[in-house]
Amino acid sequence: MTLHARPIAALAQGLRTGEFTAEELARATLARIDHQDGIINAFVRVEAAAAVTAARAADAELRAGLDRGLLHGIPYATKDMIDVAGLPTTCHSRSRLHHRATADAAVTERLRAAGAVLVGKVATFEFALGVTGPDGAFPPARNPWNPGHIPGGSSSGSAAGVAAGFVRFATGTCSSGSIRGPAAWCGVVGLKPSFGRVSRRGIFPLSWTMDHGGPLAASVEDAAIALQAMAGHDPLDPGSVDRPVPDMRAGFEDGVKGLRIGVPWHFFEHDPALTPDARDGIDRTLALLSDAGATIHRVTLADLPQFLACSRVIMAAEAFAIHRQQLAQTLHDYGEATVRRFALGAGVGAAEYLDAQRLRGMLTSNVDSVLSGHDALLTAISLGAAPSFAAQRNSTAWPLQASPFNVTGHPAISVPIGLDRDGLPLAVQVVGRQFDEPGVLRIARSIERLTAWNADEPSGLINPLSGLRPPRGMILS
Amino acid sequence: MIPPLPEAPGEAAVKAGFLARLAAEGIVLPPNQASVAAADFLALHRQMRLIRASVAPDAPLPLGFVPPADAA
Repeated sequence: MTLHARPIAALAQGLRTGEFTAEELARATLARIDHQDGIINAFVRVEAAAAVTAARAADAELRAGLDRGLLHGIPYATKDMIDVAGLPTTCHSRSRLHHRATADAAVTERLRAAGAVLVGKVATFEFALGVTGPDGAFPPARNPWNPGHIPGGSSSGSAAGVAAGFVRFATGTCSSGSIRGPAAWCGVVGLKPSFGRVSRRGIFPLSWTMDHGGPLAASVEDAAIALQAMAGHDPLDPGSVDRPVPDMRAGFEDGVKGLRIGVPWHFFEHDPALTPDARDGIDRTLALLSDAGATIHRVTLADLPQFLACSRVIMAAEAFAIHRQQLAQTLHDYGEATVRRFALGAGVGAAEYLDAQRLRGMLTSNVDSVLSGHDALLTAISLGAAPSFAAQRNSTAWPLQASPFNVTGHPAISVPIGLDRDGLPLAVQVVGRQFDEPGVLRIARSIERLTAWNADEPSGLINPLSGLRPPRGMILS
Repeated sequence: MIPPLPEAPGEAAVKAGFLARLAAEGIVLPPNQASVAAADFLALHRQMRLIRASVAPDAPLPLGFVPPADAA
């Protein structure tokens, strides 16, 4: 098996048995990026020399008996919204091409301390809100399953880079679905942890009420390993929560027998954007979970439009507060679509903003209440597969249902369930109780196993670009 | 998804008010962008109305304070 197709745990084992070195792994990663990213555009910046240097240091430490854990010597990419000391954090915007970070973000610090090897920075939507159009600072990332299709966003390069097999995991940020959405459309795992679990210090903000950091990864286990390193209290982030970080893989292989899973069908079943393949995928996933011993219940949450309105108004107000001055001074350094989106916040008054915050409290209590009787929720994430670039240009629809759990802060994960009739990935979303990431990961791992996604090939990197056969998971056609 | 509503009387004023707020901030959009942004704002304005109708009288402000007039 080629190195890029091995899970993090297997790579860690290979590094310790001497099968290969971190430097060899880094060079293989860089060669793959050099060979294939001209099509995908996942990376906006590759740090080849620094990656090799860091990998050599990781090798030296392992030889000296200093073992930093499973990520020691493992290559990763980071979203270009996250500070790395000495590198620009462009946020994919022409307005920040000359920026240079003076310090690492908390997430960067933690991954560096875990021994992970940064190979570069990956694409995003402009400031994680705009769209990647012709006026962006870099070309838009493309979906490795079909480069004519969008990867989703805003963690577009993170999802595309993992799906293309460049790295096993990448960092992402998520204010209204920017981790789970692109993960769903690229056939990788995207985990938005509980609000406060991962520090946002050094991440360029979009909406401090709803901003989260988290991993996108090639498998559920890889996501768990990455989150384990990224999570932890940071007194320098006022939203960071001071509570112990659990073993993210606790009960990981315990299955779902006896678990109660609620399904808010009313969120998606009558949405005209729900494709037959996506509906079929949800039905079949629920049937597999039921056969494995979970009990499935129809549950009713508050109306979806309330969640969507709450998310949109809070984000509009907070994003405008962040960009207000710069918009007035350097409007033309922003992309057109980005300007229009940021401008909306000018019309949100303080009373409207605070009403949205009051509603947010109600909605959070609502989800908490439903989850008090259930171990988790399972709901749609993508209502269909990734649209083509051409279709997206002619549409304002964004058929994803991720933002409700940015509003409430509950942990939520997107996990692939198979391919639609066009060979594009589909996914479902699992939502857990506050700070129960291990519970969410356990159910996601069961879905991954039950749907046979990556059953024989332990990588989610199998796609037309890699030249390997498609996965044996459900083909929904 | 909130279905688009027909433009009700007064909504032209909402759009105009929004563009005036932008101008007061020193942000002047080109005409083609301004019309799109104003239409987008109208949708956001409807969502603000939905929020106002959805907030329970006893829903606290973020620090826990319940506005007396609402609580009455």
